[in-house]
Amino acid sequence: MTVSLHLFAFPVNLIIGLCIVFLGWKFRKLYRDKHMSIALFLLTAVSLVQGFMPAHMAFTRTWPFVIVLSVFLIVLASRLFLRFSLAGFGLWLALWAGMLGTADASVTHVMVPRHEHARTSLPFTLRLEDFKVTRYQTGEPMEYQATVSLQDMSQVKDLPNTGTVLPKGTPVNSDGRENSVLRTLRVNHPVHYKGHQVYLMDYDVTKGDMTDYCIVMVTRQPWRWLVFAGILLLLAGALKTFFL
Amino acid sequence: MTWNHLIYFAVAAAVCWISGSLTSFISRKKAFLWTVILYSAGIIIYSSFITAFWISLKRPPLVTMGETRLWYSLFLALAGLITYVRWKYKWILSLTTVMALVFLLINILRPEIHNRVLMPALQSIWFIPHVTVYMFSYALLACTFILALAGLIRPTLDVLPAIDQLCRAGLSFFTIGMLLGALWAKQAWGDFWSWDPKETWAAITWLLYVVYFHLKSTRPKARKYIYVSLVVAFLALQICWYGLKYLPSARDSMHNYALNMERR
Repeated sequence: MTVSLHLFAFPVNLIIGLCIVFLGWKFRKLYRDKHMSIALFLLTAVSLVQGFMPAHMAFTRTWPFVIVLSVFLIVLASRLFLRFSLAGFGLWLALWAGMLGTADASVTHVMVPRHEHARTSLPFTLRLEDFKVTRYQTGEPMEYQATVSLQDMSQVKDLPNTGTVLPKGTPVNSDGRENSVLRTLRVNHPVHYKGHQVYLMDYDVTKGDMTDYCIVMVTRQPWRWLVFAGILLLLAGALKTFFL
Repeated sequence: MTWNHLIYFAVAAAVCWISGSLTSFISRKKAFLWTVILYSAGIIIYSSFITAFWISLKRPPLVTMGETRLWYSLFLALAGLITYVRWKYKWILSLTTVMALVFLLINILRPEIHNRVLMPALQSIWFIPHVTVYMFSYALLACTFILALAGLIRPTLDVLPAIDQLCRAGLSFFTIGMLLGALWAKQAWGDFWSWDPKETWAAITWLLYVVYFHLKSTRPKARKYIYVSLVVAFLALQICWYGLKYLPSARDSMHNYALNMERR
């Protein structure tokens, strides 16, 4: 029942998104309060199903949920064409871009070793240069700092003196160092690199500062700016409701 | 300035806040001015403690559990005063005073949390606004729940206008808390929304309050349904707030910080 996301990669998701807008426009005179009630009820019902299911079963990625969400988006769009509201549009944009953008998003967990560059399917590789755990007096961790060198693989292949193709994960030669950069990762402070966001997730807790690796999560979300815009609009709408 | 000095400032602030809450119920013109003066005085006394504490710590007091509790009380009092000045609701100040004093009392009676540390995952500028805004909305929505019950038991009571104002403010704050959380989640967990159990239940609660607004505007005569929708929404809120712990489906929630101590 799970939606196969790769079928909906760009531009399919954009076309579906435009269809939602078109259907909303077409039915703008047809849909009444009754339809909005039904759509709201359905969305609440499928959210409740997810609420009682273990999160890892990801009901929100199955067809029933996606269809209900799409219906909700069509009805909400038709209501917005008749009577615009800031909060309504913000909600619509955030849900619309959030749903469609999932197909283009990627999440990769990478184990970043200390002495060699991690082998990944990403356009860049990572190597752990330094790891530091700052502790409170009680011994509990206050901050984790991982210094990581990131190297752009797309440019490494163009190096003139290599002759042979560099396998991924090869230690960098002196020429290659020019396109590698050092960045410090901290919890709550992701690093942005080449359209990706890199998050510090884990390390070898038994070894502390001496850890041989750290685990990072690399995400790519090309639609995130639309979701972000939707969130800001909904935020403005909520403030407006409160103050006016 | 240390934790030991807190009690003096807390007592002084409490006296101001309680007397401000009392004067707000007097229906004379000057009472409004007195309320504002008294309540602001309490806020100034209390924030001067936080400022002095900050200076003597040489870092912002945002790290331990006890330190973040300090801010709850300040923001609650501040939000109460703003709401009172803007809408002249009489009940709001007593509500925020009680909540602010509860957090102050926790800090005074349980000194062991003063130094309980905040793990790296919670050290973020989003933490305090996210939590305090939610706390405030929970308080407002709790009032709507009580009023809705009163309306169900005694249908002659006209509680809808009060419910409406409270619910507008409550849902606005709830939305703001949720969206601040979404922005924070992008920074901490890589996505704005990941259907974590806490997020799912926040969405359910949010939708149920939207159902209330929808019912109210489409079927204003169906009072019983309107009250019931508020009761149901408040029950969902309880699951979202603390009931999740007892829900087997929510054991692996990322919001469960007690379990994930070493994970982040």
